[in-house]
Amino acid sequence: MDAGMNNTSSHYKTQARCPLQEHFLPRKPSKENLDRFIPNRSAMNFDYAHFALTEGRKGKDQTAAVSSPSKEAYRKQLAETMNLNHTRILAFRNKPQAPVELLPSNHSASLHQQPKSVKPRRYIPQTSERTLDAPDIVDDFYLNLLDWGSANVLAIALDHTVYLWDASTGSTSELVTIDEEKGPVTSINWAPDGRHVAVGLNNSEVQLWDSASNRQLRTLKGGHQSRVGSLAWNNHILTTGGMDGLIINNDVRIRSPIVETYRGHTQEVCGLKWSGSGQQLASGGNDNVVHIWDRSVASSNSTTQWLHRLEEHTSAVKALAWCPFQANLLATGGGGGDRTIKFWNTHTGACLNSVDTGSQVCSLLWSKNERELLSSHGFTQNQLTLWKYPSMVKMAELTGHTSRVLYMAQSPDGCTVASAAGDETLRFWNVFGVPETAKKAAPKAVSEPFSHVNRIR
Amino acid sequence: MPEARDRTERPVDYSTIFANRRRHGILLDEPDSRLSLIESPVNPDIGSIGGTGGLVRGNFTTWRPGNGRGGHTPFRLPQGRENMPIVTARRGRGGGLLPSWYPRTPLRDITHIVRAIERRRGAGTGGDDGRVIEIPTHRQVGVLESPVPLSGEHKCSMVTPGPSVGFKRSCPPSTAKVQKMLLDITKEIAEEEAGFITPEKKLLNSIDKVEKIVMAEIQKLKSTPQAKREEREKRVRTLMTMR
Repeated sequence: MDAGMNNTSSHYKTQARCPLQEHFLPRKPSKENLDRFIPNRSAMNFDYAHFALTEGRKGKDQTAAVSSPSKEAYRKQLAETMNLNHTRILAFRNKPQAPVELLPSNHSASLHQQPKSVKPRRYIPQTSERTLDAPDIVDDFYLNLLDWGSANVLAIALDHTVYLWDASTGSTSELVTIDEEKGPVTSINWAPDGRHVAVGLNNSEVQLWDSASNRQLRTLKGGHQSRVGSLAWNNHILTTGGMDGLIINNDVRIRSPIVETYRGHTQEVCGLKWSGSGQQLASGGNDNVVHIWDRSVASSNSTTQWLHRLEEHTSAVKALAWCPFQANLLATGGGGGDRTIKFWNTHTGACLNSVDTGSQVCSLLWSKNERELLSSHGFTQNQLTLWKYPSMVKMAELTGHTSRVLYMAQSPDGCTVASAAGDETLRFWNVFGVPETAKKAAPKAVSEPFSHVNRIR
Repeated sequence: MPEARDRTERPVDYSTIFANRRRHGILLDEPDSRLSLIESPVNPDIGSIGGTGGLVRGNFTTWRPGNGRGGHTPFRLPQGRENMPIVTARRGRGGGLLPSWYPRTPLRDITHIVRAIERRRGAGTGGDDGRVIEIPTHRQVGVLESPVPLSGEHKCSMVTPGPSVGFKRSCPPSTAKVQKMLLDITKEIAEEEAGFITPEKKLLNSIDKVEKIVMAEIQKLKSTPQAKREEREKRVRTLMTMR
């Protein structure tokens, strides 16, 4: 139709005439109907039509005034005529309605453009900002040799020695060198105050050190029968996980520190994490099982049953991470035979989602500013992957390590991530955003409830 | 039992031997390492050796972590599923990021050295090229997003002929010739602009659409009196026929 009109003017004129005829056709039957119903009062109908054509609104007002004083029979006849008038008015209204429909389409188009401009993606640097030498780091999946304290001091265990690296000044100091018989160091964890650090050893002992004065405070003995590969603080309670499958709660303030013992794992406990509220403990073991322990339930008995037992992983579970922005949400990562990241509702024990990452998951970290999850992997790519939660779309893959990225730690401000791998390097990544944006987010965090408790994470 | 221990320990010991060779660079250490290998299972012998010369002590200190690891490996083997590639990892260490001659210092900043090494590897290795390819994938994703507004704009442009057609029908032929010509010109301009996409042209397109709508409304208002006259004439005719 359009093409024909554009090509020749004669066709254009002929087509123009046809719609005009169509306009006249429907009007004839309406007029015949009017004459049939009220042949004697055709003049009145004519006048009403005149008013409707000139000014619809004023016509309506006049008809309302006229109807009040007249008789019932006259009113009925007028009603019939008014209905007919209304139909004609509607006919005129159909034409202006068409352009009204066009306006919302324009608005919708503009709306489509706005959200795109609102979503500028954050630049994620693909290379590490800084690289430190980490000679003699133990390449063992089941250990936890890296932790970043709330005082912005990074603790790392290189074989028998524990080193402290101050992120504020870049200076390095040696905390302790363990004896040959007791070592090497198998786990390390900062206390919530950022001053005291717990060191787990291969001979089943746990040492507590004061980093400010480089003095050993005490040694926890007798609880475990083999190496202590995982540690987790909950205020003044230090939870230790051993190769013997035991999980022991130690109160560091009292002489006899063992207050509770959790028995449920049949093999080495390689992952331990307290939830942000401090009420739930997640433990992952080499027996492919994740246990959720509740503190209130546990206090009743010394030997307690778990709250939930999660058995869907098909390999060892070391990577555990509690979600900071949604309570009762736990992310777990499986080892080489599983390769999946699973999300659990720890209130019901249900598995919410499972994502196949393609390689061994060694560590997991949630972002404190955005809804993102960072995972470190082993063979073959030895990469760090940043996922967008809850869609679990890959946002970035950080490469550079030439061996398994076994240990990860997050800075107190939540922007920088330190990763240590078997290639004996310690790398720093600005993966969670710029410190400036974090400062803006900080007041929001303070306003949020349990902001102080979040630091325990 | 001791036979099994010997069998399991030997490969580990070889790796430690190579490590010691690389670290010290002295071949003379071989016999001492062999002696310590033979006597490592026996604790009192280790003590006696410790009592002897200082050199032996130095070698012994380097050996002990290896022995410790060797001693623990039987415990780890049944539970060490995740650490099966330890040997390959250790080999990787030797040929790792830093050259063997570079002095190793704990937590020393080696950012620039690592970057230089990676650049060299990137130039030579094909795997790094594969990694670089990942970056344009993000760009491709961005490119995929761009056609979405294009299709949207096309849809908007398709809507424009609708009101003009309706207007043509309502407009009487005698007075609308000039207006029709103007409409044709505006249509052609819109079609040409549709090919190019720039924010300025987008604004011009939207302005053209608004102008078309306004013109249509104005022309409808103008056409009403003529339509009224025609209707009156027709009604008069029908009345005359009825009479």
